[in-house]
Amino acid sequence: MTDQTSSLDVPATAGAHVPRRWSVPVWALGLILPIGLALLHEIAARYGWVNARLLPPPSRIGQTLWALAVSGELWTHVLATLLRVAAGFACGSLAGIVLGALSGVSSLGRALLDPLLQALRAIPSIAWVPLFILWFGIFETSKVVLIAVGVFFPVYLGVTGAILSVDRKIIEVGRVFRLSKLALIRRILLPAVLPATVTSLRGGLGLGWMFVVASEFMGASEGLGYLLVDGQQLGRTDQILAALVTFATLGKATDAVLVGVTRPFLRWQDTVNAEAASPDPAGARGRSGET
Amino acid sequence: MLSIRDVSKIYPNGVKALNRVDLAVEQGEILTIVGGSGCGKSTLLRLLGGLDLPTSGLIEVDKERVSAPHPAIGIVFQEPRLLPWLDVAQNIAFGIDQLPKAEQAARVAQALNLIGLEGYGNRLPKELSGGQAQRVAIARALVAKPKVLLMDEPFSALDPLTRHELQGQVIALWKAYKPTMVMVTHDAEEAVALADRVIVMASKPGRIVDEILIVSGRPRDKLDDSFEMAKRRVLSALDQAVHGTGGSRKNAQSAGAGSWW
Repeated sequence: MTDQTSSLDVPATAGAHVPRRWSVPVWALGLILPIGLALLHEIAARYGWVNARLLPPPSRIGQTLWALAVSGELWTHVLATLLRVAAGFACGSLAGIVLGALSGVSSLGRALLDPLLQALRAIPSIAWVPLFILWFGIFETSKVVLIAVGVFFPVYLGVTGAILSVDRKIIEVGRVFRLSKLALIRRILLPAVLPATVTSLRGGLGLGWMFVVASEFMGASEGLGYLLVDGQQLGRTDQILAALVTFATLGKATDAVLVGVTRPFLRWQDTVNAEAASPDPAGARGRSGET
Repeated sequence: MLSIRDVSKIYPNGVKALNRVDLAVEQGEILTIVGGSGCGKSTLLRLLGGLDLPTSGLIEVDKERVSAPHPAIGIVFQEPRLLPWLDVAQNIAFGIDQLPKAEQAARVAQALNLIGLEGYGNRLPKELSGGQAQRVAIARALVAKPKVLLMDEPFSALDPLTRHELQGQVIALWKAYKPTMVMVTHDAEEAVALADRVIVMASKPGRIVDEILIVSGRPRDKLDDSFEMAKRRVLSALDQAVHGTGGSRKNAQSAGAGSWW
């Protein structure tokens, strides 16, 4: 292993200092394209090459965003949307984890639950909207329920699948050391299913953001979805784009929080990119050739 | 120490994995079991470990019936089966977490030393090579101080050099912990290198057909003539078990009685 690191230094010194001087952090590379496109757009709008009313330049979007932020209006909308997502995500993921665990651990539970849930899953979640409005009214409850339904299915499927795919061989290690059922769950099952559970929660969160927009389209007086509808009715494309930028920021930020919170528990994963990949049950096996 | 009396195992699909097997293993003995694939050697080991139940017959450790994993029995599988989210030290301590922390730490430190992995305590399994991982698995079984250690082809996935090295380490560990050892292998040389006694099994139905005592002391020189002869004896027994008419246990014992090396 030490040999490998020292041999890695060789080409760097042989290739002189050029690569060092130009080395850029990887995340910065991802900025090149959006910033370049934004600049191009800005220039195009300024010279009238594109219709600035339909496609307002970044500077205009920035101004609108700033105005909304200063007036405090933005925060009202952000808070309303965040609360809906949070409530819907909490309910949906909790239900998904509980029912997913039942369905994964017990074959009786699976036989009872899975057919019904799979059938319900075939209904596009948005199709519930008319029913939810009649059942829960047009205010918060129906919105939160819709988001929860959207979050529920990926989490349920992810947790069930994670439990079912736990390696029988490491369960047997628990048997050899005569772990009680509870200890087996705590010391083997939970850590083993955590990575796939986090992946499914991230998927659920993404859907939560999708459905919050749908729910706010169906009638809301505040929220980022309302900002979108309002922008459409007033013909204010800058407001629409400002809301989209806010959505992007919030979606990425909440995902990053989820990843950040769970990362310490997932450091053991034997994958190229633990953040993006599903768990690798063969991770127990060493990969490098040295002994 | 270990006694297997008239044990048969018939799988639900009707396959006779083991047919009326009798075997006794003495305290501190190293027994290796060789045989072609499908001869029931792994099945026998799983029964000894209490992981599966025999269809009929009795298995006892220390005069206690084995019907589930037993505290006196440790098992090392073909794969290391380490828990990937625990580091090396935590993996080794996995089966002794009921002991006081200080005792756990002392046993882990001693084991790491014996398997030559001092300083690896807080590495994760993904950072180990196959040989290192298997050594950790052996340490995990041994720190619980089992009276019997069962090993199911523990080195079959390793390269010959690593395998040779680990055979030496197993003997060192055996000297330190003095467990009774039963090891399944498909490698005649490995069987002779480690064992006090080599059991040869044949298939259809799975049964014991021969038994070779290895009396030479340890360490054993694999280049030695007597080692070569013992190995040849095991190989010819294996050959007979796989291709030959397949003797019953009776003539096996008469043959075995004459085969002291």
